[in-house]
Amino acid sequence: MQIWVPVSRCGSVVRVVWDRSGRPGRSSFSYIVLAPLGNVTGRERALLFERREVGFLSELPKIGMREAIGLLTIFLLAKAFLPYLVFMIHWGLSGTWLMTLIHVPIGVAGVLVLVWLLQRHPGKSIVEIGESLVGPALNIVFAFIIVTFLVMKTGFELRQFAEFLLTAFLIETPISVVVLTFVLAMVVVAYLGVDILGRVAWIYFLPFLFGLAVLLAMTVNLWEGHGLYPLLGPGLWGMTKGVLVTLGVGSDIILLGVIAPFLVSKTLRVVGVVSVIVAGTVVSLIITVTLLVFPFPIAHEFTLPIFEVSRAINLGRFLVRLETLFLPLWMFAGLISMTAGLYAAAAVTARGLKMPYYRPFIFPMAVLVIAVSFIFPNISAAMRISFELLATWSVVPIGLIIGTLVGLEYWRARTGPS
Amino acid sequence: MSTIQKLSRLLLFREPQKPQLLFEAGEQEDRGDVPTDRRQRTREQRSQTGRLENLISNKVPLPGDLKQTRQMLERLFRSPGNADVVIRQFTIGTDPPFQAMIVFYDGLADKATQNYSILQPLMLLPALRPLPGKELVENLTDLIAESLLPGNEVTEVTTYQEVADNVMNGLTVVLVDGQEKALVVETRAWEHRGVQTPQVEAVIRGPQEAFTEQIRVNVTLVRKYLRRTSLVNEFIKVGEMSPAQCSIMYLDDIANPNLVAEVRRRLKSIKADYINESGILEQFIQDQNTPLAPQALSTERPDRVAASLVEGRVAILVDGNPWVLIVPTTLFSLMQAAEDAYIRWPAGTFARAVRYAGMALTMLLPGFYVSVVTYHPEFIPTDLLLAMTGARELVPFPTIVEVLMMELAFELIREAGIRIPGTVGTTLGIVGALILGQAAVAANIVSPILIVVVAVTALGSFAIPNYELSVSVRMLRFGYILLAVFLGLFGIVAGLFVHLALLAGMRSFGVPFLAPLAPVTMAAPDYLWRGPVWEQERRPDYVDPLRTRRQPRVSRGWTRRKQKEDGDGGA
Repeated sequence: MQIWVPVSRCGSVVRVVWDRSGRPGRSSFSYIVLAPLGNVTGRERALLFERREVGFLSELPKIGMREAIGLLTIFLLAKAFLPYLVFMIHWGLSGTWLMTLIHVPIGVAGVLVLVWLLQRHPGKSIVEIGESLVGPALNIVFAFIIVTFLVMKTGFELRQFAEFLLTAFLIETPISVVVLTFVLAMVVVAYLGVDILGRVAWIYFLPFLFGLAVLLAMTVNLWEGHGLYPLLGPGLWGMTKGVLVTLGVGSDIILLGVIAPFLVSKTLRVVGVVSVIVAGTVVSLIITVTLLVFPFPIAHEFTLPIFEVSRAINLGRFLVRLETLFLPLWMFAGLISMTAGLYAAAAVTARGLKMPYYRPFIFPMAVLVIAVSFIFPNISAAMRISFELLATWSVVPIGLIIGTLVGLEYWRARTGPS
Repeated sequence: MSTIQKLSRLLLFREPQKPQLLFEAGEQEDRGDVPTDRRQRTREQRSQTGRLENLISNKVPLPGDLKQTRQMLERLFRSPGNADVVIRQFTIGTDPPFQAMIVFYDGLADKATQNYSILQPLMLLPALRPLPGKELVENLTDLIAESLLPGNEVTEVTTYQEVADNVMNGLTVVLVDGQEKALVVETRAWEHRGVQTPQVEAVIRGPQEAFTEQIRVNVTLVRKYLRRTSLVNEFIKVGEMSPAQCSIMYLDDIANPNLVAEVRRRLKSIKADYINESGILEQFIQDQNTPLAPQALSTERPDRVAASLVEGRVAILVDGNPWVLIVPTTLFSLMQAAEDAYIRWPAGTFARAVRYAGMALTMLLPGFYVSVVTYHPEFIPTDLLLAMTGARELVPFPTIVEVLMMELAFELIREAGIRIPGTVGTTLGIVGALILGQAAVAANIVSPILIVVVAVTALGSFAIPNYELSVSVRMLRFGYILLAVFLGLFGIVAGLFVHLALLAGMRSFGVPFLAPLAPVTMAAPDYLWRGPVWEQERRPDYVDPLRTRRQPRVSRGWTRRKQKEDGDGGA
């Protein structure tokens, strides 16, 4: 049996020959130590996992549980700093915070289904699982849809974060400069790898939550309780419709399917569930405070609700106009989220094309992301289209892919391996 | 000479170059105008050097003939041209007498030891003690070593290479006619600095002794702190032209053998002319060649080395310098000072927090100042903004110019402060204070608030306990200033994002540089903050030590006993 294992640093490919007893050839052993697990394709990875006794798996990079929670949570909630919230408030009115909370159990259910699928195929990503369940031809379509989603999400976020900066802080700077700076940082970190990105996300995660809590708490003197009434906002039917229309905010969970090979299989459930709960709760809190500070008729007129909340802080004579202080909070979250999107797009492309290495796809994906970000003529169009495509409709293709794979896996489990 | 060269000579006038020195001859051979005898001498010199190098590298055994050995050693040590080497021939007072000689470097070996422990016993004592006749010639070397040389350390060597190595290290080699073995007697006694207080890593509380330039003394200092049989000291020679005596120290029952093997492998693999400082060695063995941070912790404190060895790390000592490398290291190790552990934990934690704040200020404050003044003035409260604007009103330069000017002036003063002779050191302080403090403001070159920014930045840089990290941070702050001037606070955030990722991707001997924070690994509360000493229960997991637990969960036994007594009393 012959296995191709890529070497992490130099980008070359080393052929590892396995002898009949299933052990790696003597001369090849030292090379396999260099191979990162994330760059090994599904079948190879499964074989590597089977050979734990060889003792080289500890050398391979992986993402710890906390790093994964940090990464996935920020990926899920970074959109809360974008104009997304405005459209959510448009649907949920004063009950938007509740609408987001209702998303949480739905998201948890979706994650549990995805985790069930991933745990049935340890060491494989969603793309490789697709290949084994639906075959290479249809799987290419699936991979293409996932990549399209990830590129669009990253591109739309890029445009909105850039517009955010231009509107709030860098009024005279050309948007191209801001976009290119974002992309440069994203490319460098995506090139370093998802394990490194996970570490950065974890380092940032707790200060981020703390900073956000401080930001929200500093508006306490501005809270008006009536902003949350009526509790059900547009009513039961309106609320249900709002929840259904914004279900796409959870499509980002597909990232778990992409990074799953880097995680210990047992931790997938915890990572997914905790991330969804934390992200949903935090977004709900942000919306709640926004509605407490600005009642919904005012709130849904804003372009950047969270920015307006930070601008509203007024404690004594000194603690005013603190939005600059919170700029790192938003931008760091945006950078992590967009880098994860860029990495995931490159990784899915590589796996979809059965290429062992994702790095060559980072630059092309970055170009696509820039192109997508410049599609819109203005911020209003970017806000509207990105909400419709991502928050509303993205759930359909992503849900269909996951649903199809889960259904096939369930059917295969019931009928046996034959 | 080729046609083109001739043509170029015709076209271009040049002063004729004549060989001035012999060593230029190699270069001039090609021109064909070097006298034949010089070329001959160069060839002979090269050939002889090659033969002598082979003598060393091929480990040629000693021939047994004293005359031949002497001739060869004279050539090897370039005697009589080389005035330092001494080859003293004498007769051993046995019956029958034997010719012998001692070889040593003048100045490196102790003459009194040689006189009383080598020459006197060999020349005078054998006459008082009759030696066995038949086996005398066969076992003479053993007999001398056992019966006649009273030195505490006498070893046998058999090759020219061993003889040369020992002589160069200050030992005295005794060669006896007819013997294919030589005896090496410990006589090292060169001048060296004594153990003094730490110059760079000074502490208020804690041991006040630092390493010296003597590797033996340094090893002893560590051993004094760690009285444990499993403390291993391996000597390894590094370098080719003048091999440096290096030492690897580790606790055999705690350090991971793979880590020790990796350190050994890296040191042995180095092919370099001359490594005389641990800083040079560090560059040879570091995982990544990056300016972001050093990947080995250098320390001059034996107590710190001992504490690191107990954690399962490995220390690398280089003969001739007082800085010891500790590997693997992390960012958090570099930000720790020995004193953190010696004072009570709240004070240790506070000191560490101050240090991290100092690092952040050094790296980001000038950039933050530029970004706020240039892009985000709304962030400054109105009263302060008015004061700042008023102060800046007369300054003709844009903010970035005055910031760069003052930061460079500070760097200049700092660099000059290191190089300046001690006797005129006070002058520098006056000049620096005048330039930075008064003159620049009075001349309206910079604003007063910038002086505060630069001063705080400087103080922050001095709070970083590791010198190399401090230099890295100071360099990086210029990058952040440039990012701030182009993109304001967003530029700083983007730079910080990449910076953090690069740091997270760094490794020191395979250990992630930001461990145990990212990736999260098990460790005692002793990285970002300093936890109570009784909670330091585990060794850092990222070092993968053989023994993970440092102390039991209840390390203060007296608390348990008291509880028990209380319980008994209650019953």
